[in-house]
Amino acid sequence: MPDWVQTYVTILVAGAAATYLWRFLGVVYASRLAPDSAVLDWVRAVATALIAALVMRIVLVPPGALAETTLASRVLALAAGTLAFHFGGRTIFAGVAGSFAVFLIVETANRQGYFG
Amino acid sequence: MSAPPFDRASFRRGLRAALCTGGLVLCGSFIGFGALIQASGLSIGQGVFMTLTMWALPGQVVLVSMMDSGAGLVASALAVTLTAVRLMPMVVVLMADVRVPDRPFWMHMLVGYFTAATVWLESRRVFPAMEREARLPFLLGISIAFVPTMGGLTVVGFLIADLLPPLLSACLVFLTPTYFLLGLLASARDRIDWLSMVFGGALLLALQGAIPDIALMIAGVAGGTGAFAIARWTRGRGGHA
Repeated sequence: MPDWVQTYVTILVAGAAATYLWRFLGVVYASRLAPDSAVLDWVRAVATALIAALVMRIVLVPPGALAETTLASRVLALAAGTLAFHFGGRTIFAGVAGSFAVFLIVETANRQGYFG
Repeated sequence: MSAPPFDRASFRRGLRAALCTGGLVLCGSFIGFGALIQASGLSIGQGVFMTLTMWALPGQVVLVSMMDSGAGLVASALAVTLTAVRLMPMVVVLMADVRVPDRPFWMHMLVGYFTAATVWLESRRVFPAMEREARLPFLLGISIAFVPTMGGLTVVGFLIADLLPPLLSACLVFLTPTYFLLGLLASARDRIDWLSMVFGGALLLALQGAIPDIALMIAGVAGGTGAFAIARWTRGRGGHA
C-alpha cells in the first residue's frame, strides 16, 4: 500500500470510524427509548455537562495557536461574553462579539507589555 | 403507512439558518483547522477528507496531532474515539427531538453523521418553537449547508495559513469555546440545564490536573448525573426543576 493511501485509510479508520461509532450507538439507542422517558432528561444533562466541561478544558489546556495566549485573557473574555449575552438582548451574537473584543484587547495589551 | 412528506420549506429554512452566529463561528474554526493542517505537514486533500468524513472538529484536531507525532493506528483511533464519546448523548437527544414514525432508517443515520456541537446547540435553541415534523428537514438543511462549506473553508485556511498573524490564529481557535458557552447559555431553559453546565465545568476544573485523559468524560457523566439527581429530587419535593 503506497504511503498516501495508507494515510487516507488511517483517517477513515482512526478518524471517521472511531467518531461515527458513537453516533451510530446514539441512533440505535435512541430508537429504543420512549420520547418522554426520564432517561432522556439524564442524557440531555450529560450532553450539556460534557460541552461545559469541554469549554473549561479548552480554557485550561488551550490547543494549537491558543496555547500562546494567557489564561487571564481567555477567562476575562468568556466572562465578558457572558455579560454581553445577558445585557445584549440574550443573543449569541452579542455574547460572541463581546468575548471576541475583550479577548483581542487583553491579549494585545498583554503582548505589548501593558501589564508589565 | 408511508413516511410523512418531506417538508421543503423547513429544509430551506435550515439552509438559511446556517447563516447564524454559530455558522460564522464554525467558518472561523474551520479556517483555523485548515491552517493547522498546513502547519502540521499533512496535505490539503487529507485535511478536507478529515472534515468531510469525521465532521467533528475536536476529534480532527486530535487526529492531526496524533498523525503528526507518528502515533500508530490503534493509538490514534483510541485518542479520537475518546473525544467522540460525547457525540452519543447529543445524538440521542437530537433523535428524540426529530423522530416521527416511519422516517427511513438512513435518514436517522444521516442525522447521526451530521450531529456535532454547533448543529446540536442551534437545534436545541430553535426546536422548542418548531413543529416536530419540521425539525428533521430543518436539521438536514442546516447540516447540508454546513458540511461542504466547511470542507471549502478547510482549503481556504490551508492556503492563507502563512498570512494569518499568530494573534488571529489564536482568535480563530478561541471562537469555539466562546460559541459553545454562548450556545449553552442561549439554549438553557430549566434548572437542570444550569446545574449541568456548572457541575460539568467545575468537575473538569477539579479533575483535569489529576486525571487529564479521562477528566472530560468523568466531568460530563458525573456532572450530568448530579444535575439530573438534584433536579429530580427538588421537583419531587415540590420545587420546580
